[in-house]
Amino acid sequence: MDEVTPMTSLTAVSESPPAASAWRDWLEEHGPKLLLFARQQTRSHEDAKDIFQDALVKLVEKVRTGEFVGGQQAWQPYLYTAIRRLAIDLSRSVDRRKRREDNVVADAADTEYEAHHPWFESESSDDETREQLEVRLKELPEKFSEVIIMKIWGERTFSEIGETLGISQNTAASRYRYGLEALKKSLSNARRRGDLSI
Amino acid sequence: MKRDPSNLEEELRQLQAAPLDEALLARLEASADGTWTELTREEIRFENLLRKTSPAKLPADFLASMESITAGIHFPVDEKVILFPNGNAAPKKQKNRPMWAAAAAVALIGAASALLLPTTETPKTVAQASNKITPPVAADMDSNFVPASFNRGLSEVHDEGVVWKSNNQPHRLVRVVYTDHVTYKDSSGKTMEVEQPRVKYMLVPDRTD
Repeated sequence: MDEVTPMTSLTAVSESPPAASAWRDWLEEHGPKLLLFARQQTRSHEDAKDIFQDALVKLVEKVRTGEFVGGQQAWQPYLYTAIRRLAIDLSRSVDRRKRREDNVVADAADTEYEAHHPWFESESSDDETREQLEVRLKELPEKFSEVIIMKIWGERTFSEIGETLGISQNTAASRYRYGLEALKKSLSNARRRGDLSI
Repeated sequence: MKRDPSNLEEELRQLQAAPLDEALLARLEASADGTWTELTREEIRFENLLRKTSPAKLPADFLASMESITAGIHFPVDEKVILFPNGNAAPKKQKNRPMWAAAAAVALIGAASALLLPTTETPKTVAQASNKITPPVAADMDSNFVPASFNRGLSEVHDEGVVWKSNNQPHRLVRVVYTDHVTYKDSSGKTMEVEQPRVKYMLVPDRTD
């Protein structure tokens, strides 16, 4: 009887899809920056997860059916575009937004929930810096913050950002520069006020 | 009272569009010459500072649910992506030259070496897998004849396929055919020429990719 148990567990391991770990590796590497972008595009952590998941489903379906054009390098641009479109669709859902705005209790709960799901983590910077960065990014006009998030943490080029947002790369660069300048000023003010120690 | 439209037009014409401010001019100029997307040193410094803060990792339950979406879907592998790299393995250099050419080169070197050796000595082998070479002298040859010159020519090279040695290293088996040409002379100056084909098998390490 003792010999049966290890055999069973060995069989279970060999039957699991060999590609599962490859997908997980890919998600662990690229998922955080895509989710960050989704969070910037939506009003809540839950909405961000929903649209990221929907975007991934679209991608996987295309990969499965062989419809997807381009290799793995094209996955991220596709997902950024899909996330943005899904976020726009979501924001157009008036009923959902109205429900959210009307429900103050739910908003308070959302705020508390969001506090437990920070946008950033860092080994080099402290909680205070991470919080301030998140707050200042949220304060920026969306058209600036989306470009900053895609450029800095998504490591996208201006050309790729332009394609995702439907703007020229020069416009993307302009938004990035103005956004970066505004963010810098905002963080400097926070530092002067003592909200930020660095 | 009605204003004369021609006067109004004249007044408007005298107004001029506000000049472009310096910042917009610089931006337009940079866009025109394609340098607007290049960041300044200060922008890159601030960018790197921000990059030190990383996006939060995916929550474990969310990662698991995302992974379940991909269950059973083959993960396509690009040519540039290696899924399970062996950390100890050094990248292999691509060899475009066929292995038989290397074997032929070795054989030629062997033949050339043989020419330089004294004719009375047995030429040494150049490859580990090669056979021992003995002087191509027939046993029943008249003892008055002695070798006067020796020449070895490469006749054929065949790739016989891949064999695996015990250390799991693939080797290509190469069959090399030589023709030894020996001239014998006796004391009266009489010459006799003997041609003898020889076959060697060589093992040449092969690529594993």
